[in-house]
Amino acid sequence: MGGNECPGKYFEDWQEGDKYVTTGRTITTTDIEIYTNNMGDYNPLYNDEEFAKKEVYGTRIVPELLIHAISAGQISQTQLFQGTMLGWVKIDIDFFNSVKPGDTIITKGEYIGKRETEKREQGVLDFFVEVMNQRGEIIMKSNQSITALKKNV
Amino acid sequence: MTMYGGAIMKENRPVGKYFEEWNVGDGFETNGHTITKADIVTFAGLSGDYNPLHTNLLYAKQSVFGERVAHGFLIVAIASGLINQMRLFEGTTEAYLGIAEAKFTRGVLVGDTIRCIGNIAEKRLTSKGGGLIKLQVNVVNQRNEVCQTRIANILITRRPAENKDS
Repeated sequence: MGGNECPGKYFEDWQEGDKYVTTGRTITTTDIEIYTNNMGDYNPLYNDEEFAKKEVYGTRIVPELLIHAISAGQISQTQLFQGTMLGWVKIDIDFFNSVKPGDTIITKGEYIGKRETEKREQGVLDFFVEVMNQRGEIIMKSNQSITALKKNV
Repeated sequence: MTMYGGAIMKENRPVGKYFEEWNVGDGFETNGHTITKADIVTFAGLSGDYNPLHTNLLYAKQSVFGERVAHGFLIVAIASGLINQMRLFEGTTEAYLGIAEAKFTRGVLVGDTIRCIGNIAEKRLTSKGGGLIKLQVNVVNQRNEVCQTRIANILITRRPAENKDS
């Protein structure tokens, strides 16, 4: 094989009713700083506490794209997609509530369905994903379609 | 399509454009960013996404990309940064509502230089009187190949004089 001797679930392995829940991650101002400074995604709502205090959130908020990135990391760490997720096909994301430094988020995913593609060795998997905070409030909902490796080609 | 190069520097108003100052069809092109190994390593560490396509050279060599590829959402984040650095939305973004129809058509590799081409696809008031803008974002590389497309749904501050509450 070379480099991926403990793979995750293959295209054929996902069945109706399959779900996953990730571990939680507490998001900090350090996460905000590393993200905004390294991505260059500066916004006074993320970086300027004096500005953010006067806005509806009352404090700096966690960048929305960072929430999705951390959620994708939580999903990656379930090891269910290790070496078997080949890429994104399509994604829609809705952000419902802000995340503030100190909040903890958890990601829940549900397998929706699968489809064949013209490439024999891979297919498309659809998932519905929700991110929640420690109070059970919905932060983000997303419909995600990914390409997955087939076990039997 | 009107191209804007800079931000609005006047007293007593934000640098970014109010909802009323945008027209459908307005557009812009950002500066470029060359992707480095450090970008990929930083994003893997920050997000916790250690998919071997991004972090494992042996695995990546066998993949369709042939080498380690940038995370799709690393490019989304850098693209968002390139757009925000134009300051057209600075101080006037009320909320990032979501992303629609995001498609990842071409991998971005170390050494590629990406930039964004954005245009206002739609603008309308929400049921609560908020200023909703649908921004069409295309990310292209140095060969002008489209790597990503999506719509960003953003709530933009209404100009105060026209705001019913003020």
